[in-house]
Amino acid sequence: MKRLLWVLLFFLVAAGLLLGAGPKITFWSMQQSAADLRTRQEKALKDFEAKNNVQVELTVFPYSELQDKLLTAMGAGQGPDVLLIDQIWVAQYATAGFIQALDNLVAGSSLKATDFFPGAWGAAHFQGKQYAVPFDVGVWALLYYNKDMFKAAGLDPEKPPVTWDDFYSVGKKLTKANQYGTAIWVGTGDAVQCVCDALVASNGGKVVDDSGKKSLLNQPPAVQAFDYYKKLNTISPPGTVGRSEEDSFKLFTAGQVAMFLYGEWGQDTIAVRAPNLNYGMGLFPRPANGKSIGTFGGWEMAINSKSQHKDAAWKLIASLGEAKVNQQVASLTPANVTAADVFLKANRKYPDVIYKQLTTALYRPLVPNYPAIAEVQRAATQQILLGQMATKAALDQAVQKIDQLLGK
Amino acid sequence: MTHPGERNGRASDGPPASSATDVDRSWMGSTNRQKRRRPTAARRSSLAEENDTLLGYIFTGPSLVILAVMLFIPMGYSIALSLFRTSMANSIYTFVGFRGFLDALMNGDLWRIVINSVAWTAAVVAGQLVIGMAGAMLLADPFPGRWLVRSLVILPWVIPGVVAALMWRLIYDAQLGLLNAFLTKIGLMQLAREDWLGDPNLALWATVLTGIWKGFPFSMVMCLAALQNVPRELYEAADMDGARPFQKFRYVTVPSISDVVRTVALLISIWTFNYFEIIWVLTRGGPVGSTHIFPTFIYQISFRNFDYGEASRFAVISFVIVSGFSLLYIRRLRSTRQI
Amino acid sequence: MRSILRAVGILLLLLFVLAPFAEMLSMALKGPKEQFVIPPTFLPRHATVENFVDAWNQPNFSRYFLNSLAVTISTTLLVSVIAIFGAYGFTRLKFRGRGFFFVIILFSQMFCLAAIMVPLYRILGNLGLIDTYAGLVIAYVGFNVPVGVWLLRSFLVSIPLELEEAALVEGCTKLKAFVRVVLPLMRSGIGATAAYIFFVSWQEFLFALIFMTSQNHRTLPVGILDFVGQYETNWGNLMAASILVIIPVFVIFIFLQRQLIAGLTQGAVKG
Repeated sequence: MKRLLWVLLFFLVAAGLLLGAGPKITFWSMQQSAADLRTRQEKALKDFEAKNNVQVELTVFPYSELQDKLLTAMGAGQGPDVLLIDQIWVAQYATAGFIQALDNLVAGSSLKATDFFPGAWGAAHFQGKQYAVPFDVGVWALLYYNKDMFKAAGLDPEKPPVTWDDFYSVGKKLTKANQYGTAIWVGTGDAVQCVCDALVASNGGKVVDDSGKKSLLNQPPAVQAFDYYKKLNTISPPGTVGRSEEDSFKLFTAGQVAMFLYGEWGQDTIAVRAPNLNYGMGLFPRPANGKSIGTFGGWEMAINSKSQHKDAAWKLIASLGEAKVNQQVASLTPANVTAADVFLKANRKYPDVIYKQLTTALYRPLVPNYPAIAEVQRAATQQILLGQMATKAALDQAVQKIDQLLGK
Repeated sequence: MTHPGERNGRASDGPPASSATDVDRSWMGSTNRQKRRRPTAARRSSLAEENDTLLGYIFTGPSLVILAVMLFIPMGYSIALSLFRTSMANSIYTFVGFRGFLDALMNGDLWRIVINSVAWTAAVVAGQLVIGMAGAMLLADPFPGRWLVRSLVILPWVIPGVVAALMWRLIYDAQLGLLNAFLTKIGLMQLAREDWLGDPNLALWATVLTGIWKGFPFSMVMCLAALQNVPRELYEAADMDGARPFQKFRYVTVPSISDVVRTVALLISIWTFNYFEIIWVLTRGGPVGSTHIFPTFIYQISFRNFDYGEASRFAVISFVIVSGFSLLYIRRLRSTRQI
Repeated sequence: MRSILRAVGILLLLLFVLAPFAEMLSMALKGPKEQFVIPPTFLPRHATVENFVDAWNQPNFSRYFLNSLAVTISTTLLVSVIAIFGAYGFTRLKFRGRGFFFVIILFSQMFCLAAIMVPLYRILGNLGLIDTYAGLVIAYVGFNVPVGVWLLRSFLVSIPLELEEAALVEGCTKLKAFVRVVLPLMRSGIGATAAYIFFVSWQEFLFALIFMTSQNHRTLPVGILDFVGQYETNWGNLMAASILVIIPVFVIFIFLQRQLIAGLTQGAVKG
């Protein structure tokens, strides 16, 4: 009898310990090379753990591996409780049933749409439901320009070009022997889609119409945008199609290129590679009758639909979305507007310019097939820049393929 | 006890040409050789033959079990999936049987991928074998510092494929890269402006060069090991007959190492056909799909488009092509050996 | 004349092989300000070792290296042993289905791995092999034994049967004859095959990516991508890390080739 009581007691204590320990959730996120950012993220997680009696197991992956690993794991029905996904994966994951709809949870929490940039909040939705909470954002693109090169060419270093025509004529002036106005690129990533989409949006066009079933890339605003991008090729160094955005930006830091269209994180690169570069920033060039609209890039937090600990997962997401925390943990610009304001003022030059660009930026089409569409768009861009096809013809062909993909 | 260099129990045989007949022909289970054995040995072997079955299974079993789990089951799943049309919403699989394949065959992409794959494989394998063989011959005989040169020359093989590809992407950069800088220095200014990875006519050949650079040490090591096994006596006999270096190469070296070379050629062809990392990191299959080979295209369809059905169809087509080629190759080897 | 030609040939070969490595070293010795300048320079003006220090101090770097070493060495040893006996089985032993199994083994190399990643992950997850060293080694052994067998077979067939027969006449079992007589002759082939297995496992990427999740289990090819960020690649550290990775393997190979490949021209068994 006594032994039975001891055994019972043992089990009670064990159960109590196990229950009391709180659930353990896994969080897959991106690798941070900045050491202090890592420490801040770990601290934020520890605070969360203490406050909520939940254990968080953080595994970080480099960017290129995160996508493959996540897709393989989610496709196999396994994977973390909380995942950090790129904006353009939200529709894909939602359609495939990988991630959980969060509308109820959001409604019951303190997170509101107005807390975040419209471009980031909107990108978290798919077919009327919300599937993610924004984590951090970046915008394609801002205008970087080399003030010294401007001065040398007799241009006012405090007045960056504003319109497309300005940008081109200034660039032309700055293109001489072994020096170029700007460097455009196609490369192998998604950045070129971001820039082209931004040109299209600034010109009043769209990539995909509102119904999500038809592509508008061969409409006049888009055709003009791509023609403009092609025009910029004449003031760029050779090697446009094969070069990545990262390598192209190095031409700016090396002083060969006077202006560059890049995201705000470029400032970190300049600080490391060319700390003495005297540069200014302006808004993304707009057509004479258009607005300056950039394209959003950024990361969102989502919950695995197969997770066993959805409540704990939600608590983590809600906590990371709060202004104070978001500001500490985001590696790009925080998605929370208050946090972003603080962050930009503390860490970036020209914070107002960046903030403005972030508020007007739009997200890329929220269709599940987006990565496939991006490939078609990239191929068309390559054809246009290589001169293989006329702009309209290349875009017509692309639209045909995209419509097929959208119809699936 | 016969000297290992003496085939058929005879010391260095007459003119070099006859050494071709001395090379073993028990390739792939032919039993001609067994039949030429002396009676005592044959009796002994037939005694041992009953045990062979068990022993054979024990020896070859483990790897087959692992393969079954790791490869054949997922492969079966993939082949089954190729008969379905999958949509973005993964739960919807429509059975279409072979119609999916018909559509894939009509698809313009497929033929370009086949051409790219064949061109890529042929060029890389040829390059690797030629340079590997040349390297092996250069490094076969001793010279001071040979150990160092041999070790340096296998370095491309040692670095991870992804790192090699990243490095070569930098080398090919039109502005910042080593290649154009070098071409400028030696005065080839026109070439120095080329967009090696961005021009659809050049990109595939740029990746081929990287592929050759990356993998030739394997061929070299194999050829070196094979060269080590060529008996000195054959060369000495050839010398005695006044053979010139090229004749020695053609009549002594080549037949002796041909087993190994053929094996290596087949293996690296298969691997190169399925080699993913180099092209993916260098060009992602672009520009305009001019460098897409089967593995990169399959990867793109699986992981970018989420179209597992289509990816499986391409995987099956790729498998058919590679296995078809291999079977033909093996059959041709068998027939030429039975001279 | 012959030796001059040979010297030129060797020089050209070295040039072809080492040019990219020279570039790698050059970049590893440059600070970020110097790495990308126009026109590109080869010799660093202000050479620095900060990249090497940073790469080494990267928290998980030595861990990745040790993981790779452990996995690769285990794989090489296991595969060598299994493949030697497997090759023997396929060439010397006659059993039913030998030809069939042989072809299966070749076919194992032919299917495109990208297409089976998801089902493979599911199977391995169910077996509890995800994120374990055992899982990765099993996978490597499974996929490399066929190649090892195939390669060793080609060395084995060029060794005449008479040698084993002579040993059999003297009273050895088939197995003993193999071990005593044939194995020593196969040394260079075994060395080459072991070297192949070692290097292929060392740089294998796809399986290492799928199998290993947590950071302290990752191997080098996967781990070295820590330096490749979303928007910015830390080229200096990446190149320095790659060089750090090469050095030990380079040393291992020097040792390996001296023992197993070199010096066999003299060593024939006499009388």
